[in-house]
Amino acid sequence: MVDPVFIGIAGDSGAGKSTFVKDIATLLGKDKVRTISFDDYHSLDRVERKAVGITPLHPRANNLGLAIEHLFLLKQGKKVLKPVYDHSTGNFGDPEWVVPMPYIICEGLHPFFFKSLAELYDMKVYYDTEMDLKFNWKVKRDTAERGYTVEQVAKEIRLRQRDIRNFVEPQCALADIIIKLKISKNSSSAIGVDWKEPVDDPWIRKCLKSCNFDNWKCFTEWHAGRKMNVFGIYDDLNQEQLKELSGIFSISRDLLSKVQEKEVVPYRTMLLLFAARIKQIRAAKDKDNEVVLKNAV
Amino acid sequence: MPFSRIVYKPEYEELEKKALIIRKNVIKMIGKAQSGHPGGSLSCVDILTALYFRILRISPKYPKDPERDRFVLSKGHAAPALYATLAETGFIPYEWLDDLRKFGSPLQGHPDMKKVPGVEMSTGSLGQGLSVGVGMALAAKIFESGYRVFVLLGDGECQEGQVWEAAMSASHYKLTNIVAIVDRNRLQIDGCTEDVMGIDPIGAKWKAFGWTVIEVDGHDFLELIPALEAISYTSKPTAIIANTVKGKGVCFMENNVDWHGKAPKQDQLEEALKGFDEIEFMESEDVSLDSKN
Repeated sequence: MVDPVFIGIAGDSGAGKSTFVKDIATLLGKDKVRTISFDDYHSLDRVERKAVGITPLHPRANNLGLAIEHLFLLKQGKKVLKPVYDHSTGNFGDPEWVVPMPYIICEGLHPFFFKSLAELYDMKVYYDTEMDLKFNWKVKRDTAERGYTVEQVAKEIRLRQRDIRNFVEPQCALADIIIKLKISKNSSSAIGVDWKEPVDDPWIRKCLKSCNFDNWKCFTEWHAGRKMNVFGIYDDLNQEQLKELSGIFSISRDLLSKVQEKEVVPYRTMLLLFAARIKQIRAAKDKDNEVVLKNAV
Repeated sequence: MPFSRIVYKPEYEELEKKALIIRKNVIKMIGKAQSGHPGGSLSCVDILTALYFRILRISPKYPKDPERDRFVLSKGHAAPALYATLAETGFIPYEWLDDLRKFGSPLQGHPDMKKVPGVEMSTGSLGQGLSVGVGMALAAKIFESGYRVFVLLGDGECQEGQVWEAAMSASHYKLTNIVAIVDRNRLQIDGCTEDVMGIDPIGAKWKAFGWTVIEVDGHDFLELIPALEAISYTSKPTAIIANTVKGKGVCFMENNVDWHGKAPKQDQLEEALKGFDEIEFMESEDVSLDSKN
């Protein structure tokens, strides 16, 4: 029986969650990862939402009870039949089976909106992207893939600001990691990354102890009512710097071998860190299970 | 009228036990009547158990509640399974089961809605059940009622043209409250369905008619029940292709077309019942082993 590692990724629509999830899946090995998009748990289709007058950001437009039930079943190693929301038509497609895999990544607007949901995850990430970046990405995606016009997207973004503040951003307070993408002039990709973890989190504290503070940008700041240790990645790294980084965060060799570029952009570095982090969780879990098995025998 | 709904939801293991009791009763009934259809009845027992004990919002106290869920057994020759399930649910007394197919008895070879409480439609002439189901689902939509309609079809039955007319109209009227379950046991009275009149690929056919298709193992509650519950999150009618084994549960009837419409003789009946006892014993053994660990 598989005992999956649950990873929740919350963030505003258009923050870049699905791209992040896709890239993480390639790093970890696609056969080991199952992604569940919480968009599939919309309870109303596009026409119905318009009739009722709520945005998909409202928890009421989502069948979160079903999501809780499904995650519980997956945790027990059972397979579930998940609904499928089709973004191109705004309607529901054929449901599909989800089998437990070593890593289950849940991404969406409310993956840990309720406490009972939040307790299920081994790792909760709030994906925070600066407004300017987000606007450009969302316009690009929604006009190309989801059949909206630019004006519609701009209007939608304005309309949903209130719901974002009320229903999505509060999840920040429950997250284990906050990943903030922001504009950085130093990098070739123009995107820098802040990796924030609460100061009481042992992982980052331990890692930062062995960190040479002259080479890396580490500082503390207050975010959503908690004091955070921030690890900033704003520059492109060469392979030597990457090696130093892998020393600090104990990134395994097979992961490092997957990143072969000369200049590693901050986004890729962050992916590497994240993959290393959840691989460590997986390893800890396997060890626990081994002990349990030994005791049983 | 009170809201009719079975609130108590038995767990999967309990459902397996119920299915075993129903299977035993089916064999006993047919053995006693010395005529009937054991093969198709045994293959759909698990589907009926899942429906009656987990899915359907019905109450034996109010069999005519207008808000109840409807179940139409389109493959009417599987009536013994339906009768045994109804007795287990409490719609009809157990004593009735002894009089299967007897003159004057309410339990005839094919179900009769006028005589048996809990039977929604008199069926038996194959191919008509889905049409009736579509009518019921359409009525629910017109009267803005919340009930759902479940229709159990045989796979040989899908050779009937009327089934596909009904399938077409269900998707035309966008009936999201109807589920067609196909008992795909791959055998019919004259042999293998693919030899008589091939219906594969059956899932693709339903899909082409505008239905949501879910393929499941028809003897596994872990797949059946989620599939039956999936009605709430699609915007199309749902077709469930349940892959089953004809004559499931009795070793000499399994996948044997001879047992489509033949009653077991006295010695065969005893052998079958002995087989059920063995299954029961093995299951109880499993439980005791688990508790030791």
